[in-house]
Amino acid sequence: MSLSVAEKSYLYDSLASTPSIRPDGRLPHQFRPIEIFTDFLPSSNGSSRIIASDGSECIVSIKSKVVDHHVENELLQVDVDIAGQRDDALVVETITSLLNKVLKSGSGVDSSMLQLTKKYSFKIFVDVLVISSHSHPVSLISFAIYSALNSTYLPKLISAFDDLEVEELPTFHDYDMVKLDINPPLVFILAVVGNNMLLDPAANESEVANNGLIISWSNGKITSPIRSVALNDSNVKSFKPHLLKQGLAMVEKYAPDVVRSLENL
Amino acid sequence: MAKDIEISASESKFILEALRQNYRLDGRSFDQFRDVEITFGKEFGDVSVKMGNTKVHCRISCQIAQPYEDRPFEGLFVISTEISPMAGSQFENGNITGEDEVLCSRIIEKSVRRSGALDVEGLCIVAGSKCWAVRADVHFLDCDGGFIDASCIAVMAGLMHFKKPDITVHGEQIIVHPVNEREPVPLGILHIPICVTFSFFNPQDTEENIKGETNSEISIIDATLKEELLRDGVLTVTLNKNREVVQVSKAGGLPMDALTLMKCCHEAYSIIEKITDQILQLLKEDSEKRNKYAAMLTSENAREI
Amino acid sequence: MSRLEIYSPEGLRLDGRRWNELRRFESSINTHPHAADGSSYMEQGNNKIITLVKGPKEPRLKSQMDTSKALLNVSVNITKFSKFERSKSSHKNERRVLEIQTSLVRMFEKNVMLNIYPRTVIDIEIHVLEQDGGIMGSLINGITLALIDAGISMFDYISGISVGLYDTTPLLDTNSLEENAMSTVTLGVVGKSEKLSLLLVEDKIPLDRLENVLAIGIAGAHRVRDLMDEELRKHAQKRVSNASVR
Repeated sequence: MSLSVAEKSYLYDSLASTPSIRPDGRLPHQFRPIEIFTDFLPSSNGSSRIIASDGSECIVSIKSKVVDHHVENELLQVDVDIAGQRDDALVVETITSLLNKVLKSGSGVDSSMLQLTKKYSFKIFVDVLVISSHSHPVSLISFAIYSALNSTYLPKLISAFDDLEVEELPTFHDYDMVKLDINPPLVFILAVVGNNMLLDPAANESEVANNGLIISWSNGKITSPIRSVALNDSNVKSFKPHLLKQGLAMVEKYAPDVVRSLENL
Repeated sequence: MAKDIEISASESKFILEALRQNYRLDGRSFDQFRDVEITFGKEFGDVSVKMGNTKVHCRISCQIAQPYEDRPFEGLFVISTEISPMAGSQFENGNITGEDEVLCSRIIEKSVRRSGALDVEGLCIVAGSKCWAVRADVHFLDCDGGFIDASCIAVMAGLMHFKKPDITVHGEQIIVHPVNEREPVPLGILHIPICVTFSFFNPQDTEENIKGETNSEISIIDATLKEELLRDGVLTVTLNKNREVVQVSKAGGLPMDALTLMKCCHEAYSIIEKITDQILQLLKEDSEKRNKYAAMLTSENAREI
Repeated sequence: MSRLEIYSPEGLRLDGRRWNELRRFESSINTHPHAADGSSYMEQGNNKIITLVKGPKEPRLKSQMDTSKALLNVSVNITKFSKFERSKSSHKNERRVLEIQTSLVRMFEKNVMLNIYPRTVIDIEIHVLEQDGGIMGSLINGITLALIDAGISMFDYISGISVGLYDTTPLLDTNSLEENAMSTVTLGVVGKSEKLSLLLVEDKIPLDRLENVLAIGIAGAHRVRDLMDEELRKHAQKRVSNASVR
């Protein structure tokens, strides 16, 4: 985003003041409205499309495959494609590895829900397509992944659970499906401007922020990864530890509301 | 970074005006394909094709390899049409993602590989573990237009000329007999696809072409380099003597009336008939030359005619 | 005992269509007003395609500029989840996709009035969310709609359609099961004329049947053109009435 010197100065001064004045009048913990659509790709087990109020858009597809869980370690694999960026671009690779860590089966996500038989489990492929993005997209992507996973239906197993004695491949019902019930984690991004922490930073706010924080939320509490991230190239500064505490407290207070609104889609 | 050929304004105006008056630079008629000269080398699968000033050389080679896991009964077949600055300074070395390079390799692939001109099942030696991997390497020696047509002729003539070493299978072990021990075996060719390229020119303006009803676009067969540089559209049709259209590629370019395109396909058929016969005739002559002592060495009794 | 009959003796195809019926065609334009200057979203059967047109705009590199006309770029993103079986590797640098991109550029270069936008670049970004046969035809339709939404001057619609030949029966608008079972011809037809911008045949087809297949394809493409035109006029009508209520 290209802002003039005067614009940047105005934005920084108003955001860093006490109390923080955001250009759109939001409170520091307020989110902008988003629209979410789910279940529009019949060839995928689950799908979601999220549109932010600044026009940023992201589509997520969930597909499954039956694998031998003694061979496959990772039962959740995230693949991110940002339109206009190369597959090996820095921003694409950092977001992909971050989301893979967040959704890591075992620590991030309870993968016992994916098990089919003693030998086989479902492997879930989460494919993310970011059509346009005006600020750091990781939070938007995680909301989309959350909605997609929560509206995913997997085939229903009809063959036996114990398939070690009598070797057989899992067979599934022709029509019935089972709703996937895993509690996907969320990722929040905060902007640090002066002594203030702001949730859901807009593009212009990110452009003047001193730093950014990525905080993950799973199963009702804060979880790893927690990282700092530079939101722009020009204004990056270090921040005092008490701001980190402030940010964590903010997420702890408002994350349950976000989860509740995403659940009630 | 290769420099594109820049054709001068006077040259391009001359060529286009000549086309409007039914003349081509080399005196051919609009529906005349250049004479094709095919020369076979000493080794099997070594072919040189010359069409006017366009020279193309193809070499067929083979080696033993492992078949793909999902196709255990098929051999491998790869065609390489990489162009180099030897053909002309407008080409870059190893540029396989250039627009024209991609179209050329895709058309040759659809014409020869995808259509099954080479019987890949006949290349299988031991299902799932050993097969022949045949490789056709096309070398572009001199560019005067018509690379796609020339490469297709070269690849097909090469495949029909090539002979692979004879093999004996003992369970999982294969014995490859050297050429001087046992006669090499020809490849299985199921049909002979030949490409013909048509170039289109718009003598009037764009509006007349898209909105008008006159259908006055000019189409010529087998354009030379200068004609290629000035053309507005191109159509490459691949046919075989069984009256089958193997592939058609009109990838954009000047919009042409469907009936005109059909006419082009029919014109192409009569051309490929002649070229196919020419290739078969030359193969026969080459094989007779190699076996010129066959009549003497045979132990057949004399036959009464 | 159910068999997969491509064309039953009663004249019905796998999805219940007759030989000359198009698949469900739904389109809408201006779907991404923030992300692009012109956009369209279309569904042709199970094909779901988002097309974004960005431009005419300044080229990123001055060296790429052409002083006499605009430069047209097309990038087709076939997502890994577009087919039933998820693709293991990205299709970005696949030769097949490069060929599709080149064909689309060359088709629209002759249709868009590039000479009235000199020194600029027009980028067309396409995302294929789902594909089920006849994808080239759908790509063409998506681009036509998005270019019109962007207000970029062009001579006429280009509509795309695919026709298969099952033994001797031509089948209009083939899906992926039908494409695997027979040879298909893809056409790009200019407006209501019989002029072809694109003609693509990738598998063997008898020469003597080609003309008939082309005729059916052209008629099908004309119907697609009418469907696109209908949607565009409806959209324009809505925009005009929204703008004039005040």
